[in-house]
Amino acid sequence: MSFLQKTAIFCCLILVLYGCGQRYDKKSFYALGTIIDITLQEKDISYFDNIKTLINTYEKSITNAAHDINTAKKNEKVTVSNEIVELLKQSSYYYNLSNGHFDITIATITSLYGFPEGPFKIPNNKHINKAKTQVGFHNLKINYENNTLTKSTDILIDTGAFSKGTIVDKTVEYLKSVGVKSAIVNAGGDLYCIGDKNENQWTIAIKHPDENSNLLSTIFIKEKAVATSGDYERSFEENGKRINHIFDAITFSTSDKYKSMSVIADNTETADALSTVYYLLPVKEIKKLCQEMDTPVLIYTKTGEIIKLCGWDLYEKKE
Amino acid sequence: MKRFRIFDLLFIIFLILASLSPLIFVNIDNRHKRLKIIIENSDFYFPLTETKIINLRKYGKEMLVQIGNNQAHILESDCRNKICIRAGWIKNCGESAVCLPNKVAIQIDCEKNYIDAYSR
Repeated sequence: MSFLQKTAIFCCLILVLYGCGQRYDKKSFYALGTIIDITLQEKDISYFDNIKTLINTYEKSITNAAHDINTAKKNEKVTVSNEIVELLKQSSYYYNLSNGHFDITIATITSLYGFPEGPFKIPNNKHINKAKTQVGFHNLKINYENNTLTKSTDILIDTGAFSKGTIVDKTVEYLKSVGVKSAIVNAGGDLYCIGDKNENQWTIAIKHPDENSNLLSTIFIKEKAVATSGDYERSFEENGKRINHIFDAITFSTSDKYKSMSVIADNTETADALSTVYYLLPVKEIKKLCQEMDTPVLIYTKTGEIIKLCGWDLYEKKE
Repeated sequence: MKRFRIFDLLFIIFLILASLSPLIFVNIDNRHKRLKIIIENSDFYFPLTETKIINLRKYGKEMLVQIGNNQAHILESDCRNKICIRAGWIKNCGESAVCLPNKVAIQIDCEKNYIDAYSR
């Protein structure tokens, strides 16, 4: 082979290799009380409309079920769909895992403060004290056999702490079923990375709550979910105290230990739920639980300390 | 051994340049940034190079977006909680500030992002 031929083959190879990289497009829409960003390969972009319909349908079904449960009277029987029963089962699981700190019935109290949508206010003590006597997952009597439930007190529920993750997972399931090999489904920071990006890991940044121009961490993942819970997006300040939407069902008050809590997990529901569960627990307990659950954690404390647990730092290095 | 002719040499130079061209274009893409404003279901694009204030009233939103110095922020919004204003200036590829009540988001749009997604 002449030098000319060798050079020609080498150059063509480089051209072909560059051409191999698929191009991506990102499309966004509003749902689940946030902005949904879908990153797809250009060849898969036609699935975008189906994704939108799917997410809107799931959202509607969860919102309607929550409405039925929340407007039901004490001891009135409410029939719910299989999907909602699954959500309630998961709620019960995370309630037990967190020893009662994480409780979807805390909405009975957070709604008095105006969460999730505002206007926010400090409710009067009389209302808070009454709500305290009602809150408790055990007050939801769920019959898993025939998909019904009754409330033994006037409680409200909100599955917002992890239903976003559940819906991201359903979307991922759909995309995989139609053969999508590489994509990101991101529901306001709770995201799943399908496959890899042109044979590389995806690069995911965790936003810094205090410094706009800085990142808390940059991680490299594939086939993994990441979710973050923070005190800075849904919160308000009253008399110098920041009241954020994550409330502890044991103390009945806003949790003020951390500014941000990020979790890596195998699915988005787990990442989403655990980022809230961990947010409610002291570091010592997070350390124990993240080992048990095999979920790396990034903590940013109120005092500005960054704590990486259960192998978070391993994801900060590219493979 | 055969000797190179001038056309062989030119052909080699052409091939080398052609093979490097994607790298050059990729790098140009990397630097190419613009502001994407997502209003309800529509996307609007603005250059980040000029300094100006965009009034979103013509799109039915009582909001002002300021651009300057290759970055942007939501300057004013009639929403209740002003979370979008608190998000401050955004400048990195893929970074965004979102006003959920108004269904308006501003996002730094790059042809090629170093960061694929943000968790916040």
